[in-house]
This record gives sequence, C-alpha cells and structure tokens, in this order.
Amino acid sequence: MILMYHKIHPDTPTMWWVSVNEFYRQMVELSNKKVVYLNDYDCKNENHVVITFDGIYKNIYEYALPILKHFNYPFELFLTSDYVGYDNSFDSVEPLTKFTNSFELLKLVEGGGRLQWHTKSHPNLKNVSDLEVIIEELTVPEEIKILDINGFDWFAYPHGEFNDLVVNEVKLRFRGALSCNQGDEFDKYRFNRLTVENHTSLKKNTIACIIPCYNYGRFLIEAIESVIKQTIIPDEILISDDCSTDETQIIAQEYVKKFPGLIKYNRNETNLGIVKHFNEAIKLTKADFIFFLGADNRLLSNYVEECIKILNKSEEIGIAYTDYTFFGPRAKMAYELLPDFRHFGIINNSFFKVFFPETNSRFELLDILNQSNIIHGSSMFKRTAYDSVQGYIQSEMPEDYNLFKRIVEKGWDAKKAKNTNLEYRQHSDSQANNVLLLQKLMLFYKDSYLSLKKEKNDYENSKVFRISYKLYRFYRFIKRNYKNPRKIFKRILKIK
Amino acid sequence: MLQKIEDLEKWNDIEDPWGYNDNVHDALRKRILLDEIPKMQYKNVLDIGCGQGFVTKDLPGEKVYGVDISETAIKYAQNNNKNVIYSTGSIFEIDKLFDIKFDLIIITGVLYPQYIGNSSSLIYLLIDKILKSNGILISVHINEWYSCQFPYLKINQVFYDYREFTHNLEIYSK
Repeated sequence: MILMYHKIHPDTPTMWWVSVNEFYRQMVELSNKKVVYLNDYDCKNENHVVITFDGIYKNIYEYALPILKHFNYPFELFLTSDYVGYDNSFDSVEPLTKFTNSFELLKLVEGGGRLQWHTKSHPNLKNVSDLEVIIEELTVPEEIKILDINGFDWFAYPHGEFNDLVVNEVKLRFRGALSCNQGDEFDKYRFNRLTVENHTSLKKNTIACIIPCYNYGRFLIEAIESVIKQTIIPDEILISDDCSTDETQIIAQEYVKKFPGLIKYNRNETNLGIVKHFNEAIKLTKADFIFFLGADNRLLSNYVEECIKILNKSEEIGIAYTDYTFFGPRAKMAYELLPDFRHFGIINNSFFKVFFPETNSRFELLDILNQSNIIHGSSMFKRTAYDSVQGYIQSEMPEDYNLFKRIVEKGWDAKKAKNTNLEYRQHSDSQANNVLLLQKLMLFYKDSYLSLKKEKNDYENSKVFRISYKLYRFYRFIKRNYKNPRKIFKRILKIK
Repeated sequence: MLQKIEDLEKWNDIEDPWGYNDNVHDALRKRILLDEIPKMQYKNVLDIGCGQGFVTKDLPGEKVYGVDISETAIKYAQNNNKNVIYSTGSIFEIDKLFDIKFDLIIITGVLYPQYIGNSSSLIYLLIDKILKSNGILISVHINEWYSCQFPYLKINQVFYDYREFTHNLEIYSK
C-alpha cells in the first residue's frame, strides 16, 4: 500500500488536508505494518507501506515531521521544484499555503525523508506529446539534486496522469513511478496510491473499552472522560451497569446522547456479579481488542495508543499490560502492602507508582504467574485470546488473574506497554465523596441542563413550532366561538 | 479556523487587551494558580502562551521563561518585567526554541480550538520533549472550551468560577 498525502494542518478546509490529530492516529494505525522507502517496497507484501507527500508544503515540515520522527518512519517527498520557497497562489481553488524552502527540505531529509521528483511545474502530462517538454519536466536541476544524494530515483505523475510516451521517458530516468488511480498495484512504473483523507482508517483491528459499573456513578464521569480524550479513541465504548441503584443510569444515558454511535449503555436487570457480568458485556461488543476500565479508575491519554502498539507487534502477543498508580484515600495502605520491588515512587504523598515487571519469554512469565499476578484487570487483550479459553470463569482466584493465566498457559504471550499508566483509585465507601467529585457531578448536570435548555429554545424558535402554535390558538378560538360568527369574522380581519 | 497571527498582533497592540490587570476574577485565578503550584525548588520554569506576562512575572523558580506567538505581546511583557526571559514563538516549534528542559511548565488559555485546531496529539509530543521527567505541568483553561488530557499522572485538579465560566486547573506529574 502506498499512501498519498498533500497537506497536514490543525485546520482542514478541503479534502486535500488531513488534520494533525487524524494524521497522528493514522501513523499509530501503521504500527502493525512495515513502513519502508520505495526502494525497499515489495508490492506483493501486504505488510509493506510507503508514506508519500506531494508538493512539498511547509505544513509537512511544521506538523508532520515531528510525528514521523516520533514513530521513526521513513517517508518519500515528491517535489515540484518551481515552487520551492513560494506559495500555491496558482491553484485558486485551494486555500493559500506556503511551500517549503531549501532549508526546510534539508531538515525533512535529515528527519528520514527522501526527495523524489514530481516535475518542475506540475503540468498534466497526459496530453503532452512534445518530447522536449516532457524531457524538460523530467530533468532534475543540479541545485535540487544536491539537496538529497540518496533521492530522485522515483517519479510521481502530476495529477496522477500520463501517456505511453511519458512512461517511456520516465523508464529511462527513474527506478519507478507513482500515479493516483490511473495505474495498478503491481506495475512499478504506474503504482497506484491511496489518497488519504481525514476519515481514512488504516488499521486492521478495532478496539472496545468496557466500563463495568456497580454503584460507582460518582466516579463514572472521570472514567468516561479519560477514554474519550484518548489520542486513539476506541471504536466502541460500552458502559455496562450491573443493576446500580445510584446515578449511574442517568450519567450513562446522558453520555450515550452526547456520543451516539460511540458510547453504548447496557443495564443488567439483576446484579450478575463480576464473572457473569464481564462475559455478558464482552458479548455485547464486536471489536478485536478489548479492555475493561473500572468505573472508579482513569486512563492516561496515551493508554489505548501504547497498548495497541504492543498487540500489533506480533500474532503471539495476546495481552498488553501496563504499570499503574494508586491514588485516593486508601492508596498509601495499598502501596505499603505490596513487596518492595513493586514500589516505583511516591508523588506529592498522594500518588503511589506501582511497578510491573517485564519478562523475556513466555516461560518466565508463566513462572511469575504461578506465584502472583503481574497482569492487571485493565490490560488490553485480543478477542481471539479470550475466546480460546472460553472467557472468565468462577474460581478461588481473582477473575482477571485467572483469565490471563489461562490465556498465557494456552500459548499466548503478554507484553508490557511502557510509557503509559493507569490511575487506580483506592477508596472506601465512607471516604468516597469529596468536593472535586461533587464539582464534577455539578458541572455534568449543568452541561446537560444547558443543552436541554438550548434544545427547548431552538424548538420554540423553529417555524414548525411557531406556526403549529398559532394554528392551535386559532383552533381553540374557533372551538369556543363557533356560535358567534361575528367574533370570528372580526378576528380574521385583525389577523390580516 | 485558526486565528491569524496578524489578528493576534493587532489584538495585542494595546496594553492588557483582556483587562487582566484590574479584574477581580483574574487576580483570583492568578492567586489560585500560584497557590496550587506544588511547593518545590524549580530551576527552569516556562510559561507557554504567556501573553504580556500577567502570570509569568510572579512564577517561582530560579530562571523563568515566557514564550508567546505575538511579538507585540512579548514587547509589552519585556517592558513590564526584566526578571523573566521572554521570547517569541509558536507552540508548534516549542521544542526548537529551547535547548534546556523545564521542571515546571505552565500553560494557561492556549489549548482552545482557535489556537490549536485539531492538533492536541502533536502538542503532547512537543511538550514532552521539553519537560523533565518528574517535572510538573499545570494547565489552566475554561472548562467549556477545553478538551485536552496530557499523558501524565493527574495529581490534582481544581474547578473554580472565572468570569461567566468555570476554570479547570489540572496539575500533571511526568
């Protein structure tokens, strides 16, 4: 697969622009692929991906480069040399944007980019038969060539279009060439590219977050907010209520209204208890990767991102776990009960970081799991791994420990996602309420009230409502006065 | 749409365009912020989007830096306060502006759609490059307009009334 981008920017005025956040998401989604340069691209290998940019616009240097460097991906830059240092005022349909200058091009090359050729002036070569014009456009000037000594082996047809004459001349000068959709998947002188847009998804696997809740309504807002503010938002969020008697239902339903299609709500008619509840909740989701988030806990914003990167790494990895950090009134106690080697530091005397060991092999992991659990209950797992052991079962052990141990025994590996964390609340019922939680609840209700009030106002101001209301008033008037035609007549005159 | 730099410069043409200096709400929010900063010794402190330096000039720390995209705002800031090292720059080049890392970063009223559009993931990445490990990041924003969440432990959060809105102050520890 060869991806085609033009502009990356915080704003996206037309389809040729991809927003910075969506570009970031697409780069995360490539974590189960091998991103390569065109020179190393094997078109028959479904795992290979090439990232290409046409232009090159200044916003690629400003917004895409730091992201590409972060993921350590190679990328190809198809340069139209006449516009280096200028803007796109020739293209009156598109909003005005600057192209890169030579300094920025050098920085892009330094950051893993490779310069390739996209003609001098970007003419559509499809109907050009003048050989001189074609050769002129295909010739890379010396002062451009020196910007990248490893580059200019590949060509991209302007507007993706070409004729046989052009292809023949390209074959004499380049190792291969790219089109948009006039070509095909296997001819290296007319490779097609995928035009990437904001909504383009490059991932294979979908993600579900299940928030089981039993009378934790007061914490629920924080849990949900921490999921919808992820850098990678799950495809499904299921709030599964095990027959709570508190405000859980009200809060959950409000979120379903706010995020239709993303957030779903399930309420068990009776309290099922953890094992049954969790298995039922999983049945209500479809995604390939699943994780539970306790309604009283919170995620760091990169939790989903780091976990899917681990699960994407290899087929054998069935579970991704992380470190976690205790907070809340009972945090210190919970921390002190753990053995010393699990202690990872205390912040502000209120956050207690707990260390989760990594293992080099599945056998080492099994050894540890036979003694104690190092895979916490919010770890992300593959549905196939879960299915292979028939889900949660009732036992003497905690249900998550039991599930993950059986998954590893079955042959799956578990790996740790570093650089992220789970905030794991330790509390007791008597200490559960505090000012911050109440404030959050109040802000939540205020927000719901304001949105209802707006709906009501919008409705009352709508034509349909105003006309219906007038008709209704008129109908009432006729009904009351039908024996008195004179009054009706007067009223009609008044209306006019 | 992102606000144009020319518009931001024009806005900053006068001193204190937001009317911070004689507003009880702003006096209070500065007081709350200064109170909530964890009591530690800070070597390098950075205020991102410092404007004309309303908060910057009272921040603790051996060396305090302020950065804003508006050159005009920075000129006023420099005149108002000589103890802070001010510079002009965009949040999107924040990692290129400094060759040091900070142990305290403050970001107030910056992470709104008109300034950053859809780019929060990149901003987390760039700020991470200039924040020391175990460093503190404090974000103060109008809750109604704010939808960011940093990839750090949120060790404290405070809500309070600000003008006709609610302010959301978050303290993160890297």
